[in-house]
Amino acid sequence: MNIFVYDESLKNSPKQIKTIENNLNNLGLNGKIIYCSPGFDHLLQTEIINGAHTIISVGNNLTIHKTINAAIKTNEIKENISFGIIPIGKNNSFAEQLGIKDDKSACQIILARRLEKIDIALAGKEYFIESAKIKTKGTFIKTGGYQLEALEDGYISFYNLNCSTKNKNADPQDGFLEIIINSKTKNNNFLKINKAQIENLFNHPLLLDGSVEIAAPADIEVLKQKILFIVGKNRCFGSL
Amino acid sequence: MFKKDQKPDNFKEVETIIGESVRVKGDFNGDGDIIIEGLVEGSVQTKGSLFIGEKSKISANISAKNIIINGEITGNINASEQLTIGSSAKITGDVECGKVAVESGAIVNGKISVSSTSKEGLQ
Repeated sequence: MNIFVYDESLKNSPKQIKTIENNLNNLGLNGKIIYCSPGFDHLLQTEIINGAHTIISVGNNLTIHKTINAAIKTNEIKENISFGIIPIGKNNSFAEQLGIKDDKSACQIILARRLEKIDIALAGKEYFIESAKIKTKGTFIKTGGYQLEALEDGYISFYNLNCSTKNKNADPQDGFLEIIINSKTKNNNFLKINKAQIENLFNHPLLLDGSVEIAAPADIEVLKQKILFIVGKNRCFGSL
Repeated sequence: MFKKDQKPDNFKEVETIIGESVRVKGDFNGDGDIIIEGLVEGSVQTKGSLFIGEKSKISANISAKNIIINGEITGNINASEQLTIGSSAKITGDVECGKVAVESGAIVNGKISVSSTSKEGLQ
């Protein structure tokens, strides 16, 4: 059974919903709809326990982030559950990197059901798929027997998936996060980690997937090829 | 291997870059090529090659297959194959390597041992 997790904002866009549903119906794709509103995680977890096998986020990065977090926290989650995306609106970098350009092509991609296992990272008690970011000021990264600190103001980003030209190495299937430190001098710093502790002396938060903030200190860990995603052929990783 | 006076500019082939604005304390171990332009205190070991930039300051024992040094190092150095010491390098410590090339202007305070049986880093 398919479960469609609609972003809450779509409640105010009946025309957009109708377009998406027409596209899905034309392709013979149907399923149950849940809105990504407070408390939706329990509904989604119940559907997973009851046998849902494909969960499709209809929205943006935040919708996907919430969907994954709700689903993966279910003890009953099976390895064969797959996730799909129908991108709506702005802030959809994750869908883009999976090779999903827009809502119309997303429906075709779901139908084609091309699957890739990808890594997911845990920061504190929150999972993230694409990236985590924190200000450099007062931040210490402790990992693998050493401690790293940036000496200039800027940002430290931990990428699981990043297909921009500069960060080609951020492979979401390698079991590592790539650390990029950007400061005023625009120096590129690049390290790979699979586990780290992030501390900040000034209580700067860690921003996950550009959407959700969590407090530091936080432990970060990568779970290699933990989730199955339906991807487009124009994705920037995997067996193309 | 890196060119003598030039760091590789292809990110794909470099496992780690520690830039000028970064300080690392502790034991840094890697498998691939590493570029250091910043500050390191502790130790650095890799099975690959190591490039140390002109502005870097390192207080650490370092060990790698090939090493190019252009910065300041206080610590012992082991290059199982090739060691290249650039003109801006300042080394305080003992050096062991398979082969060595030293540019005019480099400062080395320590013993240099060149031997084909030099210890092989992490291998």
